[in-house]
Amino acid sequence: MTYIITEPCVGVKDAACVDVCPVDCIYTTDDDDMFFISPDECIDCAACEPVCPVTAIFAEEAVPAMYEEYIKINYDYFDK
Amino acid sequence: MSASDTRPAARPDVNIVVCTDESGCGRWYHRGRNADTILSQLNDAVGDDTAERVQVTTAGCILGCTYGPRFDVVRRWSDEKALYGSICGEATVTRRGRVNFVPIPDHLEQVVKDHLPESAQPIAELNAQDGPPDIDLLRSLLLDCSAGMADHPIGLGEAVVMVHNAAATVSIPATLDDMQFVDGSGNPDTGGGIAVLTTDGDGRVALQLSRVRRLEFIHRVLGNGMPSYAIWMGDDQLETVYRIYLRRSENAAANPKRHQLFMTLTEKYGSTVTF
Ligand code: SF4
Ligand code: SF4
Repeated sequence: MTYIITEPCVGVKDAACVDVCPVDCIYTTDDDDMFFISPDECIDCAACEPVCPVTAIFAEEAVPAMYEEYIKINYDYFDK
Repeated sequence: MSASDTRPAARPDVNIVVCTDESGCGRWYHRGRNADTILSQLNDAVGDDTAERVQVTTAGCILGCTYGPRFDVVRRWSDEKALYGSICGEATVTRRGRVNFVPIPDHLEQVVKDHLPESAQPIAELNAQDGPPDIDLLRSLLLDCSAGMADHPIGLGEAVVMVHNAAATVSIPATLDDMQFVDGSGNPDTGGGIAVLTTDGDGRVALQLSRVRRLEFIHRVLGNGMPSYAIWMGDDQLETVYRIYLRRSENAAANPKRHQLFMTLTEKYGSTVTF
């Protein structure tokens, strides 16, 4: 399991999640319009989920249907 | 997982992330407080005045177990982090590397104050707030074991005390009812720092309360179906230095009451207590 960042992050990039993550596993670049969680590094602590001001982060199995494509988007980001 | 459902409208200055992992820090006590106590004390400490600036949330394991409550404080205004736990000083933590633990202070208002930009203390100086081990808590716990508690007027009674070091182990039959506290000169003192048990052969086993940093109540059912009750104490190196095993009492009527007291003690103090 991992945590997944979804659509509400797009264009917001508040980075609250990055600040609280205990293992620094949330990445982006200036060219990306959102952040991504590395599924291999995430320890499923859930620290990031409640601090996101736009409710963009979900446990993988709890991602709402309307954001399901973001599961693949997150995984693909690290498979490049 | 969030401690409150309200996400602050503005970007907070400080995030406090409390580990409530039931299989780890969430179930341990330090100086009488567990994760739930710490969480509610932190929420009280934030209060209405700083609610928009300090966000307290919960998480699962955030790594860096200290056998007691754990929380991270994130200073978002300076991009610094302080790791609070039940120990003080440097330690190596899986995935997080070499970190410096700040001891959780008795008054959590201090935590809020120490991290807001206008009153911030340098993180490296926060370690100096560690107090001595809480021997009052250990003394009252041992007294409850020895004399019982309000609804449990019978103590834990017959036991075997096991003391060991790297070279030798000694097991001594004793009765916890005879526990006495003495000062450094061996004079009886209800506030003394040494707990003395008189053994069945009239010997004495003395325990320096200030050397005990961790205690565990262990209740098991053995392969033969018999219950086993033990209290293990460890030092600051997490070595188990003093073990108490309860013996079956010859007074059969006392055994169910001793069981109830043991379970009540576990409930009152938590199955693991750190000092
Ligand atoms: S906190 Fe939320 S909006 Fe901000 S970067 Fe993380 S996921 Fe995106
Ligand atoms: S669940 Fe924990 S480890 Fe995973 S991204 Fe969130 S904060 Fe980081």
